[in-house]
Amino acid sequence: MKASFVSSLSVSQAMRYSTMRAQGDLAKALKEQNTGKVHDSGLVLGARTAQTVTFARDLERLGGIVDSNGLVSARLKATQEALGHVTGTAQDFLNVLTASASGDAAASVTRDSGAVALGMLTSILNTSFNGEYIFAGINTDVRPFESFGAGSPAKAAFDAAFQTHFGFPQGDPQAADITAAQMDAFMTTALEPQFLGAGWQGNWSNATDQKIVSRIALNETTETSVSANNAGLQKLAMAAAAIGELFDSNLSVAGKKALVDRAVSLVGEAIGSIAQLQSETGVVEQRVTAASERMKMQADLFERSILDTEGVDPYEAASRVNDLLTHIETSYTLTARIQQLSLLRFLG
Amino acid sequence: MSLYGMMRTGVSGMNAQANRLSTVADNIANSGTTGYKRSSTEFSSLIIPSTAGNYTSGGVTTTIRTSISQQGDLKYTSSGSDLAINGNGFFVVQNPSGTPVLTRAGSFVPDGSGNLVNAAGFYLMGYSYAAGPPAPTANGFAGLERVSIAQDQLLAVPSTQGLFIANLPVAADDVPLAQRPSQNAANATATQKTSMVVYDNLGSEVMLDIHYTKTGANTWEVAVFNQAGAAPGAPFPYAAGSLITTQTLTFDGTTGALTAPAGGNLAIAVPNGGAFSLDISGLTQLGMGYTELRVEANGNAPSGIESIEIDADGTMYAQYENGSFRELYRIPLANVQSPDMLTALPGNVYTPSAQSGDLQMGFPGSGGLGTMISGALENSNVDIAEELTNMIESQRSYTANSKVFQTGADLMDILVNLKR
Amino acid sequence: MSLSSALSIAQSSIRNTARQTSIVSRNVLEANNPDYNRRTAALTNTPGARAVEIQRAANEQLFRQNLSALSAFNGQSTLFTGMERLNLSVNGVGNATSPATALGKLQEAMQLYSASPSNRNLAENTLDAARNVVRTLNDGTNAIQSFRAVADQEITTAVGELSNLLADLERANNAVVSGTRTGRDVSDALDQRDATLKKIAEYVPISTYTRGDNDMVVLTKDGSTLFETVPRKVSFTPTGVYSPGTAGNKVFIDGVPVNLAAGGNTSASGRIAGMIQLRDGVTVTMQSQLDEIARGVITAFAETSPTNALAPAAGLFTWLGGPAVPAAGTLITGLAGQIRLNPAMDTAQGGNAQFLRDGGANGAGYVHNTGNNASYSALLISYGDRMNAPIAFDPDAGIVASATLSDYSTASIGWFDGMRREASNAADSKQALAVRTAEALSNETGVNVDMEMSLLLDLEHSYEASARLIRAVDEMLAALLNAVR
Repeated sequence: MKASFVSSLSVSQAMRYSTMRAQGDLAKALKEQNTGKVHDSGLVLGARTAQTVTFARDLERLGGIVDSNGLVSARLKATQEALGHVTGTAQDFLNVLTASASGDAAASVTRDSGAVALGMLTSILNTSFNGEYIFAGINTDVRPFESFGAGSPAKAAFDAAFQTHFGFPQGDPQAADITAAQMDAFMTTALEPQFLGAGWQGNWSNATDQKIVSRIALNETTETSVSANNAGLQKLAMAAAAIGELFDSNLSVAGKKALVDRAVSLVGEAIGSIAQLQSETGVVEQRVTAASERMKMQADLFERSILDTEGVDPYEAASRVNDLLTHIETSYTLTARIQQLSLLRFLG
Repeated sequence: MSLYGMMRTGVSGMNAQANRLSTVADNIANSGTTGYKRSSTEFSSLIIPSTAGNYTSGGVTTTIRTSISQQGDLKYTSSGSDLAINGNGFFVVQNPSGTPVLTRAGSFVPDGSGNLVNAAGFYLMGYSYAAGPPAPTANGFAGLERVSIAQDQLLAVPSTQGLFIANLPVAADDVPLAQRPSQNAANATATQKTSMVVYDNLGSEVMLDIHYTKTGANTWEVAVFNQAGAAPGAPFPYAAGSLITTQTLTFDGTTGALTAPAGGNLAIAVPNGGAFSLDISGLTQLGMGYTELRVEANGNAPSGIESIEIDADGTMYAQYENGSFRELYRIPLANVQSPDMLTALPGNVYTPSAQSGDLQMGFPGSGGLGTMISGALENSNVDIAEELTNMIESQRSYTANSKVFQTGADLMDILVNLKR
Repeated sequence: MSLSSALSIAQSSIRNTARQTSIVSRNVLEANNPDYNRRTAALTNTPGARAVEIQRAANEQLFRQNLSALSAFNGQSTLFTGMERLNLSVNGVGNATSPATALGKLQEAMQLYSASPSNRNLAENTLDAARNVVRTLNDGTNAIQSFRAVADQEITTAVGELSNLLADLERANNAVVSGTRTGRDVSDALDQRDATLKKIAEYVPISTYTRGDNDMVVLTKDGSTLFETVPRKVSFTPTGVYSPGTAGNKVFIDGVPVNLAAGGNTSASGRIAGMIQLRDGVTVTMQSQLDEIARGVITAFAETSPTNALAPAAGLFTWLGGPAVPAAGTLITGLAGQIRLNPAMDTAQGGNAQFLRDGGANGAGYVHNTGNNASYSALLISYGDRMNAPIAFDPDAGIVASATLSDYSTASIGWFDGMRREASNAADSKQALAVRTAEALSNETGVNVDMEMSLLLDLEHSYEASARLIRAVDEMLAALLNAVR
């Protein structure tokens, strides 16, 4: 008798409690079904939430690096292209010089080709990409290569060096007396410091030797730009400037020959150096691409782990919703039936 | 052998039946009277000595019996001062002039001066507790007084005795001397603190803070403070003079029982109160947490009488507003050897007679006396059906007797007419 | 047996039936009152068949279980709901406003900035992210401290309610004691006392024992007296304003302080202990973790001189003790509330964002980009590296002693959510226990309307029978009276 006693209150309370719980669960299951994720990752995962938060953050970080790598890649591509143009310019210049050495070309053609090559070089080295001068090293907000026009410090320094060495300005008729040895000495002692030595930074280049360093992967940084302070570029500039300034009709034939010979060898060296630079840039480009690829794979992995920990099988969630609905319906029905089941109905 | 004799016999028979009818009338009239005991008539024959050939008719004599010892049905009421006796015995009551008599009519109500008086105007008598627990006088009414429940007194009882049973945890940490509650420093800590309420002489509540502190292996310190001196929030430090007593307790390491102080009494001088003896012999020191099993103290705060309760053993208590009780009176029961032989007096009261035997006093529930039931009354023990049957029987009997007399008279008439 | 006694017995039977019916109807009336205990009108063998003694169904064991389950559940659910609130106000939905998220964003912004350091927009963007870190830490601190103030307020309310309940208990207990002494039916007073005990158990865990005359003594679970003859004082002095490091006042029950509970599946029992755990336990640890994160951030972004000739000084983030950098590995309470963006760098305060790229917010000695080159990224990259380099943390903050700043900030979330999950699970199981014990208790002591109805049928029968008996006696007497002529 006592053991089977059930109070009316507990019958209705028990039903209410279980219905309430089922409704709470239903709300959660619906949310899970809609989002495909657990309703409250903190509650479900507990201390493991730290993992998913870390994953999510690293995922975004990887995404950020991949994005910035895109920027870097674009810059490298622009650099590569510019270097290609430089090579082309050097090649053209070399062709003219070769022709000139064989005496085929007119002096003015040779001289102009020097000026053109220098102009081209100037314009290429001053290429800006996304607001940055790509050949500036890290001093990207200043034009890295000064133009060689009248009044520019480079021109003044050049003129001064010539004047000092020979005692007369270039274009002077006395130039006809310049011997090959004299011209060679001038090139070596006066012009080389101007281009390959301290004069380069002083008069020609505003670029820094230091190049832009970028993080291209979580733990990898690398130089991702090219500086105008490169021996190849310097030699090309030197050859072009020397030809453009000195190869005029007043110069003795021996001087011209010495000048062209020297220029040919300089340009040849320059083409080699620039090719070297191009391949180095290519390697960096490759590294950046590879890093991006790697990080994308890593990101996929992270995404999968997040899904593993936070995700919910939508079919499972859907079937849970159905189960709960059935459960609640059953309990409604039961409640109604139990309410009907009262002696009071039979006591007329 | 004489007609006159026969007629006298008939008349005596009619008288007897008339007596019987009188008792029936009384019984029926009092069938609803509380504590009424039915009367009955017993007849005995009166034989006149006669010779072998000669019968002289005698008569019948009537004896009235009262069924005092037969208990009536109990009828329950809603008044606590209605009393009934279940079993033998009588209430001792007093008429207004002061004569003590016995009754079972217990419908008492307080009169204007608080005395309990029943429907017939008799006052209930009892022994007072004013001078301690009373002892009844075995065979007399001495020491009895009218029971009065005047509700105009306040009562306060100072605490004198208390009980404290608890287990102190053996695993507790020892507390260094400077931090023990007995030193009353600001940083004092007790292993366990508890408190209890006692009452001072005027019935004011005094809260005692009791601190148990472990001082070493099997030794504890108990310090009792008056909580009135406690600092707000944390009790320490108490105001100067709040420490009532402190005592070192020693426990047996094997059984965990208290070994010192011997006897296990803690004498506490309640401020403005009497000596309060707290029995702590039930303290143990076992391997479980602090567990309080029982804390008690007697005494109570002043309060007025709320109601009157009467126990089955006749003790009448005053219940005070704070729920505490005090005995006021003890109501005795009286009995005699032969209750049926008591002399009935008006008002359902009886007085001992020579035949009834001597009066014996006692308390309800003892010595063959019944118990007292509060909130009930004893109905009369009259059964209407029986009375009606008796009446019919008497009526017929009376008619028969009158026929005897008439026959005698007719015969006399014939005899008288013989002489013309 | 005489006819008269037959009559009187039938009469008393009718009276008893009436009494029993009134009990049945009372039972039915109170069927849905969880604090009502079923009464049974038992017929007792008193002389003259009086009768009805009212017995109140009770089960001490189950009642105690229910009380303790109620306390445990209330403590747990107070902790859990508090932590939910705290989680939302500090970490936000989906941890959106957590320091970990803000730090992640800052790191991302730094990365973008370091990829093109010449871009001023990206510098601003980074400053924004840094500002967000500061806001997160400041807001988190404010949220935690105002939460503590609210908890303090709630403790005040709870202590007041507890005192009221104890006063109720005294009234109910007095009614029970005096009723028991006078032999009255004390069922109602007992119901009231039990109901009050249940309410008290919601605030503090209690154990009880009864002395003579049903007089109840109520102790807290740790043995201090809550009620003995009179209620004991429950005292608490509220603290109006909380700042990090403010120690809340204790709740004293009869002069014994309520202890600080610990754990997600808390040892706190009763609402008051739960609130104390929230106020002095969870929030304080959480605050120390924010403080440690703030210290980590200040340290990670501290400026160093290129030659190491000068002591490191607070860089992007500074604090009240700036420009000095907080001592390594030592908790500075309230640092998360003090952390600010360095005005020298904050363009909104007239600073120069370039200091972030070049160094030098603390003077020329700290300049790294001496050439003032627009694409100088080394410093920016080094900040990013420092956020990912392990540094020492104060173990008192409850997580690890050494971790990277990023990991520490997520570990803080992990710590909190781990505890929250534990609290949630424990709340579920403790609620189930409370419901289950209440159900068991209700089954033992509650009313089943159907049973009462069938009892009513019995009573109807017995009433009818008694009435018939009276009529029979009446007829018999009438027959007798007819015989008298």
